[in-house]
Amino acid sequence: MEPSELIQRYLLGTLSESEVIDLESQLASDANLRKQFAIAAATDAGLRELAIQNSMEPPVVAASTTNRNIWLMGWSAMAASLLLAIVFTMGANEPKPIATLSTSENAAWESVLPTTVGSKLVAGEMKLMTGIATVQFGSGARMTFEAPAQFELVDAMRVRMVDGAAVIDVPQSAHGFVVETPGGYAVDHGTQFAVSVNESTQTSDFEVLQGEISVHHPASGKEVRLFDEEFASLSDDVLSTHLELSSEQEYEQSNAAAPRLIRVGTDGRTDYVIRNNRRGKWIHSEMLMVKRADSRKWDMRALFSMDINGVDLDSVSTARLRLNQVPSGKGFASRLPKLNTFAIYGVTNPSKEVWEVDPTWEDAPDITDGILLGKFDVPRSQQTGTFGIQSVALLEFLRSDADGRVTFVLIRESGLIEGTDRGLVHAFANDAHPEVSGPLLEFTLD
Amino acid sequence: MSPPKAPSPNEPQRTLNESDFMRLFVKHETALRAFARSILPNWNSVDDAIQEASVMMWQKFSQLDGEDGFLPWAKVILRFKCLNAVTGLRRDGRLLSDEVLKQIADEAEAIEAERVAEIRSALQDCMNQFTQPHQELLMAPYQADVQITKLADGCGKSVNAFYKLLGRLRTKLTACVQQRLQMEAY
Repeated sequence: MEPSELIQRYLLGTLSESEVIDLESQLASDANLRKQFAIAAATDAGLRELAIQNSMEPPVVAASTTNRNIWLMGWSAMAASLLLAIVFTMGANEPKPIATLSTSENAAWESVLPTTVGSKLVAGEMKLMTGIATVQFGSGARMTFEAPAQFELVDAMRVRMVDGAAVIDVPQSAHGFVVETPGGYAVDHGTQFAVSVNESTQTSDFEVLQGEISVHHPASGKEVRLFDEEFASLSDDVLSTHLELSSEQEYEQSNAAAPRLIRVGTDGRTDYVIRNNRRGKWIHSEMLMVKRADSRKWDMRALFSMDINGVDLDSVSTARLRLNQVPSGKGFASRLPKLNTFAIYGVTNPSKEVWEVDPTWEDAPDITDGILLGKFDVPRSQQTGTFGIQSVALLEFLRSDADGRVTFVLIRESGLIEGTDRGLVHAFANDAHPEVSGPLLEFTLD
Repeated sequence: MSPPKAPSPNEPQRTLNESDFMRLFVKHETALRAFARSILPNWNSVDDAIQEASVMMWQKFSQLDGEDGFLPWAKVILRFKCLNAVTGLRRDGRLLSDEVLKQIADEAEAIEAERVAEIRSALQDCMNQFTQPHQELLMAPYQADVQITKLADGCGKSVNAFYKLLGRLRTKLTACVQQRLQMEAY
């Protein structure tokens, strides 16, 4: 995309994260482009004035726009004492809220709409990255989304599901509530029902928990009515009904996969070390801290080990190492690059696989005692989330270990981009953390 | 004449009064909005920042020496409010860094009031180069979110496709404005 178009789409708020990064680097290195940006912003301001003046021309003017129109036009006649009163009504022309974000459990969002609980939501797209969240529509309909889910709030009676699963409760007041999905839409006639959209295959599944819905397939003109515990599936080509979900249609969220998954924790065998060998109050009891600083004194690396004797590695098809990031409360994220790379090493030096209580920087297992198993990236803006690696190298490392006890070293490779210190310290939960689990090895079995 | 830094309201000399503030604020409002827009990612936040800044300007108005200094002075206050607001908006992601925003603000701060007026009149001319439906689309985002959805629905296009078209039209419009500004510069 041309830089000038990037600027316009930034102003419209429709750039993706990577496009913003692209624009950022172009602006940083090109003073002319920055000037162009300033002029584009001024043009945007002019265009807005023009639009507001134009919207006054038709005889019908929405009441909510009146204040601002007066604000833009009738200046000199206004008494100064009115100023503050007018100033305070300037926010009145915002788009009307159609829903409220009513609950949120561990929810992380990617959305331009507000995402704190209780926020009024206007029409727009939202992407729930983690957790569960409930949106209460003005009509009374209530939708509970489960991450990962992407959807668009259209109005108080309509939502468009792009991806993911949700359960919808529709009271009397919201009969006729519409859920659009790829291939068609469902109209609610008073019910609780579930919808699950798979964006990659463009298929949707509907399940009535209680009540009645109709599912419409515009391509064929077909329409079916579903009652308690009935199912329908929708794709571009077909609309089909059935009384049960076939096994491959089982919601991904279900526990069907659980028996085939084994998780192994560290059992408390975690620690981290600081280059200056401070211990005591400097070591947080619930987190593993990781940092790379330019002054080096406060570099930190984390260590953890698991006992995998109980796992039959021959029947394992994949292995994944999972870490839960938690806020460290230390340092400034803005001093770090936008993406921070972390590396996980598997310790192969047998004498370093176990460490003593309160190890020193020099004695604790280090990356030179092992092999690189994989890397992962964490955006600097993110302070919580699940990260990890799933690699062939990891599985091979686990299989080659002789005593069934495996030890890992975690470091951050990214340093500071500005300042000499006080960069963000990244932290991951250890087993003592009250909210999320410590490092886990996750095995899927054949 | 060198007025004391904090003149009392009873000062005998000609100090700026309440109606001066009103007049100056109104006169420069377009320039101030344009300036705030260069830092903030959407109009809601611009309106909020202007609102907060205007209260602060009102409170500090007595510190202003003369009306020629109003716009640069007001921009300093507004810049502070805008950059503050950015911090709060940052969790929504997809924002330029503070560093680049400050550099852009430097550029925008240098745009004088006359320049803003030139941009405004160039814009009016440039709009005429677009068809009526395209003009409507260009102005739609400022009315309400619903409008874009409606327009898109009416043409049977997706909202996403509409925003793409809108982006291209705006690029063209701004290029036209810029061209006219350059012509005037010679």
